[in-house]
Amino acid sequence: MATSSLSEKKSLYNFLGLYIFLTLIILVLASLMYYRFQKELMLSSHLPTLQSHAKEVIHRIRQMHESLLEDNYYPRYSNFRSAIYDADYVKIFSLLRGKRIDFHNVLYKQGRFIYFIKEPERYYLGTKYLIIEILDDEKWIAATFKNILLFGSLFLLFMAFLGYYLAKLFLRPMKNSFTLLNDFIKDTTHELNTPVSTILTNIETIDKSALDPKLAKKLGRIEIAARTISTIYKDLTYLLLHEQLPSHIETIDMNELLAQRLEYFNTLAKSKRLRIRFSKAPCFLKADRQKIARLVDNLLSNAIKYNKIGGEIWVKTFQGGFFIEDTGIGIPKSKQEEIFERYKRLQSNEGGFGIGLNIVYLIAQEFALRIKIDSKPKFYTRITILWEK
Amino acid sequence: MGKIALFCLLFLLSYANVFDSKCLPCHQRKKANLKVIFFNYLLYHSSERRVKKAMKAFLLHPDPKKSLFVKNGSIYRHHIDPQILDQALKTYWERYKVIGKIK
Ligand code: HEC
Repeated sequence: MATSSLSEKKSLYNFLGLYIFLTLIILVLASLMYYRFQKELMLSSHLPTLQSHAKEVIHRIRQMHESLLEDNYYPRYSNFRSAIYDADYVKIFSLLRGKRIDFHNVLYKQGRFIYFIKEPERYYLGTKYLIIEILDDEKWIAATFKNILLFGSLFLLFMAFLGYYLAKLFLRPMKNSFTLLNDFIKDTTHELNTPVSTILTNIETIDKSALDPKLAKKLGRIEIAARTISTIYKDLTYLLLHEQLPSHIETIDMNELLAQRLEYFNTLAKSKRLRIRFSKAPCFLKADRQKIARLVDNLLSNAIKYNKIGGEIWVKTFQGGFFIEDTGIGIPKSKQEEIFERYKRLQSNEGGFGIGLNIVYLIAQEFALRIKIDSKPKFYTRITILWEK
Repeated sequence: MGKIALFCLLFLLSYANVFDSKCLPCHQRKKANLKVIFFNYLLYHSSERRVKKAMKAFLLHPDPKKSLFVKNGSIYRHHIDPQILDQALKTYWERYKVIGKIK
């Protein structure tokens, strides 16, 4: 459950991130295009006036030309300014306030000014380019920004709704499959529990001393197998349901619990000819008994699984903690960090090892227990669980 | 020695002002107004570089189709040394140019 909702959230965030990114790109591009369009519109709206201004100036410089510049007074107007340039872009005369002229453009805006470049059909006074300059009141910019803001926020609102809807749509199949799988596993595991319990209780009632040793050995193997299934079943239920499982906090006598769990794993330990040492001191923990049993089971199961044949398991309790030490393969220093990483990564499902330590980690977290690992490869691993007294 | 220097000076002066000494007198005589011609070239060629280029081309290789001033029915075939022509056109341009004269 935890894993599914986590990956669900992650993919939701990924989706939202991509969605917001794309939305913003669209918004910026659209705004830019709109702005450009408004600018073009504004410029072309000035065109007729600019044309008539140009005509007036050309008329005037034609007169000047025809008088062979006896009449050399350049026309001045209050509502626009103008300049004349020759074919090699050399200034003949200019009243402009702007400094630079872009001769490749016919109609453009530069700074606060709008420029219009007209080429007269004859080069009166050598004029190839007549430039008309008018001041832009820039009212259109304010209007454009107002519209961009208005329609932009409307668009964002729309996209937000759409995104919400899409996210739901996107997550629904995932949610469905998760709940389906969950329900399926819940049902099956429940169905699984009954037969396994039946096998175990029946084996326990058999008096093994009365049996032929060969048969007793076979029965022992059946018991181990059944217990392994039972452990896996309990781990699975815990992983699937631990969020829904309410914790019944009680004071647990850890000596009693550990003894019970050791008894449970006795057959398995015997099969590997392990010696078990149990050093007791008063040790109590306030927590959920079922869950602490899961924690202990997983630690013991690892201690048996990774021990060498004929090795030893040392369980010791003390005030505010206990440890389980084995004489197994050990965990190298570099890997010790990694194992903690794996706890956090939650998704690790490398066989029983990953899931087991994952459960230990989850339970320890719930009851604020500290996990300490001491190990020397090929010699021993000691996992200590500590809590506030 | 002094005579040679004077001659050189005169030569240089006349060379520098080949426009006033050569072009103007004949044009005044023939009533071919150089100012009008100048403005016609300006009207069709616009810039200093282009006006000079067009005049030079015409004066060295007269072509009726490219003439911008026809008064007597036929174009006048100039015989001008190309080396002094550049100098003459420079003075010509400076004399009648529009840039700097508009108020
Ligand atoms: C001997 C007389 C004479 C001299 C010297 C002379 N010109 Fe001319 N030029 C003429 C006449 C005549 C015309 C006009 C022809 C016509 O009426 O079509 C003319 C025409 C021209 C034209 C107009 C060409 C056209 O497009 O039709 C130019 C330009 C010109 N002269 C430049 C010069 C320059 C520069 C010089 C001095 C280097 C010069 N001329 C010297 C007689 C002269």
